[in-house]
Amino acid sequence: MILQKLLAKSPRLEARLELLELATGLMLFGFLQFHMFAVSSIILGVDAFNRDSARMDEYYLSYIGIPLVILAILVHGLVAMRKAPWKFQEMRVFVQHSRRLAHLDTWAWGVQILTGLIVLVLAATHIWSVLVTWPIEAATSAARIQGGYFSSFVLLILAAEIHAMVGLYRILVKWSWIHRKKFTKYLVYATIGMVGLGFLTLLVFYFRSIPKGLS
Amino acid sequence: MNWSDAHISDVLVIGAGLAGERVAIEAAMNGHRVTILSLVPPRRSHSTAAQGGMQAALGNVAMGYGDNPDIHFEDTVKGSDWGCDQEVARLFCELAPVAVRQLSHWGVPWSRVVPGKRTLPDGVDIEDLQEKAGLIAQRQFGGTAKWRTCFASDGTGHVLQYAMDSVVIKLGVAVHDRCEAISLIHNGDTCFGAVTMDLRTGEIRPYLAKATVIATGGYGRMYGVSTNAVINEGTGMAIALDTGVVPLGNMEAVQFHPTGIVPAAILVTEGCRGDGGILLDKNLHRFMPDYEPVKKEIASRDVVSRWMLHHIRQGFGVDSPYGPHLWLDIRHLGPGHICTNLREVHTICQNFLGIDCVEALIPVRPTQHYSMGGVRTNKHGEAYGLKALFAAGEAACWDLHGFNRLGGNSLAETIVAGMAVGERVADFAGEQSLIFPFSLVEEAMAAQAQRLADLRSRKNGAEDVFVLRRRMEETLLNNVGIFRTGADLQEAVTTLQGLYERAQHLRLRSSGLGPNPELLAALRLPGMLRLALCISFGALQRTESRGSHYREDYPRRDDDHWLKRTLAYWKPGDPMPDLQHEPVNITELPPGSRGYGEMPIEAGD
Amino acid sequence: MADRLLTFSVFRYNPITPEIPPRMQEYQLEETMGMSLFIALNRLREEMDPSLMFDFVCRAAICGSCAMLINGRPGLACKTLTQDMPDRITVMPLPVFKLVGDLSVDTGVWFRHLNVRTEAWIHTDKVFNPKSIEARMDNPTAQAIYDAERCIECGCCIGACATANMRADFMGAAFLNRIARFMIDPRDERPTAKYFDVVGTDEGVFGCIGLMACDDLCPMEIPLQGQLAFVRRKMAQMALKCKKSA
Repeated sequence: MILQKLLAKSPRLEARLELLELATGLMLFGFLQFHMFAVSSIILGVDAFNRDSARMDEYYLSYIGIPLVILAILVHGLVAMRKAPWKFQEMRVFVQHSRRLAHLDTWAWGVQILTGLIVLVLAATHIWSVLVTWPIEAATSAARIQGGYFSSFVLLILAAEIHAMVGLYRILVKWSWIHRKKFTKYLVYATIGMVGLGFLTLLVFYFRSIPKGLS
Repeated sequence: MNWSDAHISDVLVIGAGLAGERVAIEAAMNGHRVTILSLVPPRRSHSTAAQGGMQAALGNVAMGYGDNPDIHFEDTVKGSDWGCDQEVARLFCELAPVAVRQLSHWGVPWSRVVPGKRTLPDGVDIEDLQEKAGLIAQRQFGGTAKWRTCFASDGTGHVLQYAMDSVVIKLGVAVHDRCEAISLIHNGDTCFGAVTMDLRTGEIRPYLAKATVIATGGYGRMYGVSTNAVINEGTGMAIALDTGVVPLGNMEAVQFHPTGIVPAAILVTEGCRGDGGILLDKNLHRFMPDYEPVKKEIASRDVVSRWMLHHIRQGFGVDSPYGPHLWLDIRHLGPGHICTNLREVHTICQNFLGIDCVEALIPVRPTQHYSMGGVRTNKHGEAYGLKALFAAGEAACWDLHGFNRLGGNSLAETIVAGMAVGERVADFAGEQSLIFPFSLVEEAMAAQAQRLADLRSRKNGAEDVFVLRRRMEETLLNNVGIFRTGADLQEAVTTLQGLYERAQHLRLRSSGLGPNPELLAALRLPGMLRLALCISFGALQRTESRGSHYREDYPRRDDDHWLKRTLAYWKPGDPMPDLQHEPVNITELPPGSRGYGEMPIEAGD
Repeated sequence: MADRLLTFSVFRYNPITPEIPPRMQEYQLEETMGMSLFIALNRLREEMDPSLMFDFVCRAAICGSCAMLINGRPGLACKTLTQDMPDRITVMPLPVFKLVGDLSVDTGVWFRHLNVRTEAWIHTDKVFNPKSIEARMDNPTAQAIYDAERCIECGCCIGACATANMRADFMGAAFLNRIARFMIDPRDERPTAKYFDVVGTDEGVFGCIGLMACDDLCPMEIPLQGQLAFVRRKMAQMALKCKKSA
């Protein structure tokens, strides 16, 4: 046994970090899908969207939810990063390994890291821009999307949904809550569905002109 | 050579299969410092390939009720065609149940008795009693009066080796894998250890010990087509023979297993037939009852193999690009049974034949499988001719098997002999003190260094090691097989003599540096040829038929002249082995009828 | 198919001659009926290059010696038939393990080390009594142990594992499966806490990131996904329990 390793050893911590990653991951997955459905209410009309937004405000859901989500993102990001290949050498090993192996799940981890980073950056700007134009209203959202953020939203939706679905898949696999080979296709359908819904929402925002203070 | 190069321990075990590890465990448990040498990591040993099981008279299952060591003893002696040492057989049968139970204690997941009624494939109804529930289950094997073979699915050797190795690791026994003993260090009276080659670097080093144990398994690879692993080249037997003072016993006794698959020559377990599988010919006719009305497919291996080959010779074989074969049919056992108790057979058929044996027939042919012969020892495992040298397992001729080994008796032998010989080794090492004559060790090292240097210099000779080796394989396969004749054997001896002479003039094609595979092959070949000559010459001399040794020109067992064991010595520099004979130790059961294999071959026509 | 000319691209490096850098060497061989990589590599050695190093033992997919990267993926060479392969076959030694030379790697030392580290033997205070009959066990339990015990320590799961490739101290599926085997064995009296110290860490089960290449490439088709999850759940329960008591 080597002294510094012996002293630094805390097996329970490692187990708890894993559980923390699991918990925040599941929570963020839930939040993301909820969020996607919530904003998609614009498809039903501006009123529906604003009503939803106001109701969440009314019950203080936003004021509890948003800080929690920000915290979850930070924690999840930090915890998940502990296993990623940050050393250049490790990254090369991983890329070469994945190329040799030509194994979908192994590649998926690379995708996971990449999309995770994208989400971290884009979600941060997204949250910032929402907070500075508080409260959430269809008009401000539309203005944002029409004002040059369209492409970054496309990327965010793609990255977030793929990250979430691959993450969910890996959680289910790691804890063996599913039969891996049979379940995969349902997750693929769900990803396509949610990304489709996101794009539709985005297009509605993009093409509908919503004057401020309409409702 | 420098003393600091030497590796010194109390006990040196050459070979890390089941026998070697069991000896090592016994010695280590008695407080000795043990080193095991192995060509490969222990868990890759050929012992792991044993599928079917291990015989021990527990009497746990319906068809084994009333079993006891006396019946096991009788089966073993009959199986050996009265060639075995009966004192050894007695000791073995008494100890086997203890061995099985100790292995259970060490973690072997033996299949267990599930009580209840069921009907066997041949229509017999049996009932396993509630009082035996959860005890170690047993299956039927060839040549036995009771169901006696304990098993763990059909990966018995694998789980035994893993459990055994876990104990070796627990006890902290040193295992030097990728190490080959290339000669024994001795003064003609006592053995002091071995000169070994490191197969990672190609360097040689002396390993010295108070007691040296040879547990290197068989030589099946000399036959080319064999169920054996590629490491089974008889190296341990060869270095013992090489001393000039240690004889090999009964080398002409070579077992052919009835069911090697064609063409890969991979074994499918006797458990297939024990569990109710049958043999079919090209007309899908079940032919074994014609020859063996009582035992049918589960007569002893020598008998079944002989009838199979005979049936093929009569023209009933199934033609294939790899020569004629017969069918093994286990389809009627059902997927439930096949995918649990014969699981590895199922996998092997899938991997190497591309068939699903739940639905398809398995092409099989008798294939070289086991050597009853080996380093001749007394009942304590002490080698003849050299003090401090022991042998156990297939490498030894402890003489439990005589001229034919029963299925399930080899796994049992490795472990029981390991226990018994291990105990003797431990006692012996306890009585001795460490003394090594320096000049002797130095000479032994120098001799091997010279051999290596000669081969690596690539100056002399012109013979290709692989070509000679192939010729040896063909010779044994064609001339020293199941049916033997004086003429064929004489031809084999002449051919092998020629090859042995040529093997003195090998020349490497590659550099031979490091652990070069061509160099290793060249180092082993002369020893293998010596073994081949012992086998062929012994078979030529033995003018009778006994167990697996069947002479078409002498088809009867001849107890008046041949109730004796062949001892093959090889004096240094001689071109041929020196054959001597010793009487067989008969203490309880005088020679008589085996109860199978009695019908003369012609009568089956 | 009998007429195919196969090209073998073989990784070559001999530590005895470090001045010759690692390289891929090409050989060509006529395909024969039922040819496996065991047959092909032996022919290459005997007919073309007697210095070529590789490991085979049982040649029946029982011993686990011949694991190597075959067209990039870990597998047992002995049971790989050329008829299932393209005209060009690349063979490399397994990663993670120490290279002995060419295709030969030192799995023995690695596995022995981990067997020691995980104390992979039955821990019991009971003393064996040669005179008594064996302790009973129900057959389904014996079969479940056998299912896990079928692992042949070939190292395919280790070679296929991204974590094992990047982190030298990760024990890999082979040992998590081995631990699962002892956890379900009633003869092993170790409490869960004892296992936790060994595998409830990032070197053990929490180092696994669930890429399942081990599960996909295990030549023995051991259900590694389930085995790993079994250990993971047990260890997670233990971690939560510790939290309460702490």
